[in-house]
Amino acid sequence: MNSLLSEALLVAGKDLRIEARAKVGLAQILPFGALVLLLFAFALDPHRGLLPTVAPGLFWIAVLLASILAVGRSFAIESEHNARDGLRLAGLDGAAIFLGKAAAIALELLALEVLLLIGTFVLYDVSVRGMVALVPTALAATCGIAATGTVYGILAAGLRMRETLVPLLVLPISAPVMLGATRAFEAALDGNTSEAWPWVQLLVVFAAVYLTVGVLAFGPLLEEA
Amino acid sequence: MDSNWPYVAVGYTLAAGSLGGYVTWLVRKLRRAERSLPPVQEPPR
Amino acid sequence: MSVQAPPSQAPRSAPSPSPAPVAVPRLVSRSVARVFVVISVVGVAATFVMGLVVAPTDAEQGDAYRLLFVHVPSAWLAYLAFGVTALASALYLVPRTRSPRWDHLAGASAELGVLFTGLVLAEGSLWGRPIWGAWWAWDARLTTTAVMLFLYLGYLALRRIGGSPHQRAMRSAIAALIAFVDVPIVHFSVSWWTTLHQDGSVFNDKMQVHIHDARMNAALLVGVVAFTIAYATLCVARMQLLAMEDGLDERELQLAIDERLANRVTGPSGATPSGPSAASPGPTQPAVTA
Repeated sequence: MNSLLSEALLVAGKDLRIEARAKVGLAQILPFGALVLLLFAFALDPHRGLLPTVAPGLFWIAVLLASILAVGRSFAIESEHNARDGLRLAGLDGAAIFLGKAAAIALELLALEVLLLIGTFVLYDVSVRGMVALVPTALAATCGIAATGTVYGILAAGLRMRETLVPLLVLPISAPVMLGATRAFEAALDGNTSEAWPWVQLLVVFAAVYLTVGVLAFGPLLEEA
Repeated sequence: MDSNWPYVAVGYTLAAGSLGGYVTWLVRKLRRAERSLPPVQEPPR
Repeated sequence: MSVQAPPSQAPRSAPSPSPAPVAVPRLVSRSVARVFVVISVVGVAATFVMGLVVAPTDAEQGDAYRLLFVHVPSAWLAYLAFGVTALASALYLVPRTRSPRWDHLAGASAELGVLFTGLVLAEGSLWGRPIWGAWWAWDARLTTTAVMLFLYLGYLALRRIGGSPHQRAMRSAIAALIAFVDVPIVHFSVSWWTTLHQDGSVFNDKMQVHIHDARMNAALLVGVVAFTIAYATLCVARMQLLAMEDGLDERELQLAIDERLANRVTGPSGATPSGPSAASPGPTQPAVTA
């Protein structure tokens, strides 16, 4: 158990270090997320007063789309220089690699979410009556997104057409996360924190289920990749 | 029969069309595959 | 990997210019298949006839309800096919029960599942429009079915991408189970979401169809049974085709390998090998690549 954790931290540290040097998240994925928010404003016409109401949903769509890029990036670094073979040969437990990669993706997404949320508040003129429930919601939702993304990432690793395949696989699976996170955010921002908790529970269940799936499936999938 | 007939007609046509289309496609591909492969032994029954 | 029939047995002998043909065993005998085909055709035709003609015009819903005779069996099959795909995938993943047949079943069932799921959504819309005035409603059943359609499409897209049959089978099997786990979560979250909104009950009321007439019940029953038999027949046929296509792929691969090896035997005299660029052979040979 202890070695699982330390191995996972090893993998997560590697991914985060690579990201710190390459800064792809900062330079490309964050702007992408912000662009999505911007384009939604063009699509939905700020003058009609819709934006504050739909802001939580738009925020989570931007996050979900950005997460697809983040997952793609996370596995793209493994496809260079036979890194995937190196990962296999390193003798790490498949579950540990999964947890490490998922953790790295989750941390990047959380950083992204903080910035995008500020952008959402500013661009969409959201009236914030409460923020307490936002944190657990974001944590649970992000864990779920990172878990499913990492599983599909390794599933599609090395396959041609994976750039178009991964979104098709990830988005339907993420439907409950979209639903739960948006409703929880709506409740939280309205100040109805009690209404948000059931949705947070749903998100936690989702994250737990797919973290388990990932822990079980990542090793075999890495072997087949 | 009442005014909703067009909906029923489209619905049943879709069902027949998609099932029939799939069957046709399947039969065509099976025949083509059967031509390329040697004859097989029947399963024990 | 052996190409002698059946694929799981004899070790491969020294490469020869023309490989022994791959024989793919037939899943069911021709006569059994014929019987099932006849039953399926008759059954589906009977469903259509009963639904369009025999069943009486409903007092409340006029004739639009006739779509249910296709809609309900399709819905049942959409979910059955999904379950079969998940079950077959699980059977493939467990090493003790692993067999290419399960992979073929999973793929065949998924294709039929997409067909019926698409049909369900279309029929549902066509029924909903005259009855409730809307092409769509965001209730748990419809929404979950729509998500299921996309899960299927993703699964089928994944199956088409290469690798050996075993790799494809493993990947697809895990993807199928991931998707299977999601469906109840989606259903639960959407149904809970609609119960939070009071106006959801208006739609739910209208969606309950009261089938009270004996002829309607009969038509519905015939429909479900006939469609299920048709599904089973098509499934087996599709499995057969998948097995044959795998056999054909294997033979083509063997042909390409043998051709490449034959070229190596004749020497690097500038004859460009036409097969896929395999790794360069032994140390005495200069590196010859296409």
